[in-house]
Amino acid sequence: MTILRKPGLQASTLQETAETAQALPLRSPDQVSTLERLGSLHQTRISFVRSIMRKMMAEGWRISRERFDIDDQGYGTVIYRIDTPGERYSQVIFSHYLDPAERSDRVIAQKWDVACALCEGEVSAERLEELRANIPRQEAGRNRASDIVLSRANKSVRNFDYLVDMLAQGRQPDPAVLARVGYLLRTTAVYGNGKFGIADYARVRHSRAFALPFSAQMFAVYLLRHFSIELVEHLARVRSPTTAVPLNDAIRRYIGTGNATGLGMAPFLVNHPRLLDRWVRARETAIARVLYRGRASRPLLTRLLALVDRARIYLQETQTEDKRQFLEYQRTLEELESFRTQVNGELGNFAGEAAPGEVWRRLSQWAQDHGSLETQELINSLLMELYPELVDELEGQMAADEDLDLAPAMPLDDLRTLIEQHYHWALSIDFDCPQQQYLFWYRSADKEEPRLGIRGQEPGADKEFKLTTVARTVQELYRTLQSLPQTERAQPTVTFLLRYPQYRGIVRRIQSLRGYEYGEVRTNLLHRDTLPIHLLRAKLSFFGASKFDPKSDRWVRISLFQGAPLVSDIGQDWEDDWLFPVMPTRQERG
Amino acid sequence: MRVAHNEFLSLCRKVFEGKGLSLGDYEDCAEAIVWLEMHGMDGVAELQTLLDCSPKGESGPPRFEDTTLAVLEASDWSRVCGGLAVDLAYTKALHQGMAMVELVGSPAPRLVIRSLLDCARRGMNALAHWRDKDLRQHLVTVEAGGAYPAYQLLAASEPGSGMAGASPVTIVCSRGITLEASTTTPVLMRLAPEDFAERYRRALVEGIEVDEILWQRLVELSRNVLVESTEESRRRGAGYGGF
Repeated sequence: MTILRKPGLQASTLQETAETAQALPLRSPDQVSTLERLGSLHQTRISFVRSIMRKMMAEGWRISRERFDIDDQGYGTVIYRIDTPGERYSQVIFSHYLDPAERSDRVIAQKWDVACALCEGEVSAERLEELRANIPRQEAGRNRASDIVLSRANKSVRNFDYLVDMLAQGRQPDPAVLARVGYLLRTTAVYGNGKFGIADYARVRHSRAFALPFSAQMFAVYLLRHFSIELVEHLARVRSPTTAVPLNDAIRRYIGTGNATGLGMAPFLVNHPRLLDRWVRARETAIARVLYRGRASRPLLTRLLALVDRARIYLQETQTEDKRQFLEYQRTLEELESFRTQVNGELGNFAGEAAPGEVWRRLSQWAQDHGSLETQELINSLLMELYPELVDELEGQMAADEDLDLAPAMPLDDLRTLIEQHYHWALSIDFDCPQQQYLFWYRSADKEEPRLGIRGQEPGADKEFKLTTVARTVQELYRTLQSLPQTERAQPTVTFLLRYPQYRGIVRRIQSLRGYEYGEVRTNLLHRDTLPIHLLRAKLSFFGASKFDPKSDRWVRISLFQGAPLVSDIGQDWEDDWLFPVMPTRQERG
Repeated sequence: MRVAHNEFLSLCRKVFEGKGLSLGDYEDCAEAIVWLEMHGMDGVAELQTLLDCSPKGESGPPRFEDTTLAVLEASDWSRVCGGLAVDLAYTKALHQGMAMVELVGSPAPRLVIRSLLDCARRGMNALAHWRDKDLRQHLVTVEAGGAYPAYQLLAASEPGSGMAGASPVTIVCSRGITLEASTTTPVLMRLAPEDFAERYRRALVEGIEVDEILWQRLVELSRNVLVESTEESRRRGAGYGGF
């Protein structure tokens, strides 16, 4: 065998296209990527529910009922057919009787009111039986690569019964009921990306309909909302064929799909740092574009006032029994009142022209100086609403190449500098203090449900979830680097890893996050005071969740698509303006 | 049974984490195995080899090393998949233009292919060669920037050629010079980069077939990373969920 040598192609270095936004001053990761600020985020117009809704409306997706075999009790099978440009999908939904005693939102539940799958193409009779045998079993079933999303949901029984009751009597429900709990069905898991045999995202991302991360999952949730509305109307008709009425459109739009999320979602942000960076960076870029390119005008200031008013009503209508969250909402309500005064002042003083961003920067500075994190980020969401032309295209930047790659030739001095620049927050933690390692994250044998334990008091710390120990591991690595003799500090990384292979993973992570500086949650997740709910809220805000209602420090209920256009609205004129949904007025209800 | 790429990857990670591998190593082993399986290179066979494998050596300096050459023992889990060996060859080639590393004693040589692609992604040409216990030669090349390798399986060496038993994995990295191989040994199988691309595409569409008994064994092994559930942990550990 002979190895031939010949001049070849120039070695190419793969580089991502430079962000035009690098000309804009973005807030620093030190400010943005703290757990507390991430846990204060709200939905924005580039949240995933907004993106998929814009896509549906722009492309005129056709959603039709192919089968609606629901009996008089509300149980049976439904198939929705979805036609998008060049593609066809089906969402298959199974509705079953569930003993109330077995109804649970936990990932360890075994049965649910509703189970569904979003599938490519049409569903044959044979395929339907295969789905029927597997979908209701969820994690215990097996699925095909043509199944894109697997999900299940439970009823909000109180809302469900109330709406059926009212509609059967020929009356519309009081929207205040939906203000308290804004949905009829509440998902407890929405699986994508290869779980239990369904399609990998690597495949789905090549589709036209669902190329963006989580767009397929959001769509499946959207159709569950549609199904829940059709279900209550069906049951009302069954109960009282002569008097039952359908929901009016304003109330239909005010119904979302709920979601109950616990620690199962918490490790996601730590497991996907490059993706998190892209999400946060898109949001920060949007904010920066408004603050540095958006020219204020009287109509925009007036619109901002209207959005502030809507946000205040939304917060007043959002109910939670969680004391911490309640106080946050109350504080934001007060601060929004003051902010409104500021906006009014700007409107009163507005001379007809302003330099790009000038007015918004003043208002943003006011929010930083006078507002809580929750208030600041809510105001950022409002500002983003003012400029769809500057913001919406950033939804296309929410995907990421998630492959982490080692830079084996990097001199150790450079590695140390990287750590000092981007992980100084980890270096400053005193891990000898018991509070700093009070908690440990682990996976339970109960359906691998992630849980939190107290170190030294509960078993399992030896099986600690390694990715939750980033701060501690970085510090250990740094100390090891610091302990090297001067003569070894210019060595390449690979030489160090030959001797200390246990650091390969963390070194790769640190090196791979150059250019992805928003991707590390800058907190010690082992600290006693860690609120896991912040991790959940951060991710859910990017989904587009509203009505955050923590049930503890480690699980939350939210609503998705509340206020969104209906299936019947697709193809009609519409306004992409459903941030912070509020109760429809009597006039809107007709 | 048919499984998806991501779920196979996730399970393999847990299996190797449960065997005590450190963070980077269990990620690498899992990635390498699943890459092979997704590209029709029988990753499952390498997986089964590794499951029965217990490298007990200690990490330490190479057996031999100079500016362009090194010899590494696949003595512990950090070296079994070949990532460190490829990284070492890459680093030397970056400075010297071309470098070679021999990985001695790897129980699953095919795993090195995945690491060669990392090399290519960094802008380096790479090649790996080894002889299996049946004396057939395996040759993998990948061009700088390439997403897929080229592979040749060559017939067993002639008796009396002096070759005996499996050989080390020889890894060559080269900057700016494409590495190609021609041979007079009969080629039993040849795969071009586009063949790998097509295999990957098909695996994404159809899934991967994994023996159900093996899958159950993997699930069982992955439970080593799980903590037994108690009533207390069920109640407190994830937050109360009932209503």
